[in-house]
Amino acid sequence: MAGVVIKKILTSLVVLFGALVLVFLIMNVLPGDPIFSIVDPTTTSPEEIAALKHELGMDKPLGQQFVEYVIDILHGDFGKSRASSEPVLALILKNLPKTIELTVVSVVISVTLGILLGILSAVFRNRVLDTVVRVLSLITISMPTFWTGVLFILLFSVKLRWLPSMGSEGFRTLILPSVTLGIVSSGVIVRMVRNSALEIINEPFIVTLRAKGLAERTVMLRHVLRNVMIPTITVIGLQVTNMLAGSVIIETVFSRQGIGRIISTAIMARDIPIVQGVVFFSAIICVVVNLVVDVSYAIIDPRVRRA
Amino acid sequence: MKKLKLSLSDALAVISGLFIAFILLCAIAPGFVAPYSPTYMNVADLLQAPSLTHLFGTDYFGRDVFSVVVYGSRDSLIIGVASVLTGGIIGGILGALAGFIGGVVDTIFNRFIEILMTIPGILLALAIAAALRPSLFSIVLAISVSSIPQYSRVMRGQVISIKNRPYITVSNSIGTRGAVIFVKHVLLNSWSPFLVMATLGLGSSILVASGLSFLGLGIIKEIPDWGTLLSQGRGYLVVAHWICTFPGLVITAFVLAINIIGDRLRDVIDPK
Repeated sequence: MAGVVIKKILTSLVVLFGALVLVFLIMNVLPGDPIFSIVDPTTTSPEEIAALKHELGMDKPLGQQFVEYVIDILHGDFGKSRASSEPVLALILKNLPKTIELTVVSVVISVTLGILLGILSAVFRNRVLDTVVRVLSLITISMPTFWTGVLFILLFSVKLRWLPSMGSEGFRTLILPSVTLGIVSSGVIVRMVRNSALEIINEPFIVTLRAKGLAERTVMLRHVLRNVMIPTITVIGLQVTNMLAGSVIIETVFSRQGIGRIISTAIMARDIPIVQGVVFFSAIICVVVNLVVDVSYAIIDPRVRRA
Repeated sequence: MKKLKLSLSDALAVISGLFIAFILLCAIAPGFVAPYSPTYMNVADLLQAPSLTHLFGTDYFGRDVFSVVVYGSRDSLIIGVASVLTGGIIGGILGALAGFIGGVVDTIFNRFIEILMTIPGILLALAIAAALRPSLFSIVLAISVSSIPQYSRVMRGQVISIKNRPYITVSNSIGTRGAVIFVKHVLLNSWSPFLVMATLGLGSSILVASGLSFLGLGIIKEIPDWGTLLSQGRGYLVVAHWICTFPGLVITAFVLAINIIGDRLRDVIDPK
């Protein structure tokens, strides 16, 4: 087991380095001089542009820029915001707790809804409840997250005046953003759980358990649910990373503090070090989540542990 | 009972198909569907609620929201289709080649896809769109690159399952060239799950594109696409919610229709 974990960690480090190369290439190699993200070429003289490039180290060969970038990252230096001169890592760490708060609550909502409705849908297959759940899950998958957020603001903040539409202080400001993100993401989990449960319900070992007279509740909770959890955990892992990405939109819609909000503001201001830093930091989180997912397989499924 | 269920899902697919055809008509011949010009600003009709004269109401310039949505469908659809074609073709060919060749090529390819998947799709698209100037090309490129992993993984899996079948072994043993086996026997027999993925991918491309537009990375044009229109309408939520609600409803209905067709296609191709 320890060997598997160490191997996974080493692979994750390789993947993370690849992500670092990718982010650097996107920001520095795509068509267009990156300096024009800072200055307007029509109003700035070539001398001023050259001086600024020299000051920011952008006149060095690309390879050298990359090596220096990697060394800086290893020292925890993600660069400085071009707008506020604040260190990018400090900015990310300052805003991260609010994004984690939003992601965790959203995951709890989507997983609870997803597993509950998915199991119910499988148990009542081809009945009215199943049809309703399937239609609803398809609708939630098809809805733009930002539009769902806007609708919730319209209903719960503007019309009913129950909940605040913006801000990030206190539990009340967390309800609408997390419910929006949770509901939108639950559709995928519902479909996954339903399909897995339907396959498992028809497996011979479940038929045997029922034939032995085991209570239906025990069969469902102890045997079906446990086996459903294996593929579901993969989807949940993917959902965590999707929600992290979804927070970019949700934090903008609800004017909420978080790393999603700083990246959308940075994009508007073309503050490339922040965009680069946040994207790479998100990659780190995704790698860690994937690692946790892989390890959790071994905890849930004894076959994986013994492999 | 089985017959009734079948006809219900068929009916849903037919309704979805008709709605997709209507949106296609809007994109190809908007003047035929829209009652007003999308640039016609009637100062006397600012922020009018939906009525028979203006089905989706009017916006802050006095423009008919329904007409703007109809004309805006063109860009939204071009982005969606172009992204699926670009991402699908590149991802599909890469995945197929990796699966067919196997060995070191497949291992390197898997690492590359793993790296791409480390960065969540919309963040990757955001980074690409932010690095380039806002344009139709940059949005299509951003969405295409972020969608490559999903297409390549499906194609790779399918190709691996097909290349081990007996008729491929027979082709190999009678000396058929590798390229011929790849194109004629493997690629042509691997398209079905890929087609389902591409259909569902069209819906998600339109959602990502509208998200990018919502964040201000859309194309700045006189006639806004659906996401930009929705984003612009957000400031008028309290006084004129229809500027936001109707474009969102159209996006949802369109993506839902695509998903229903995609699901139906999957049922037909793989009845299991």
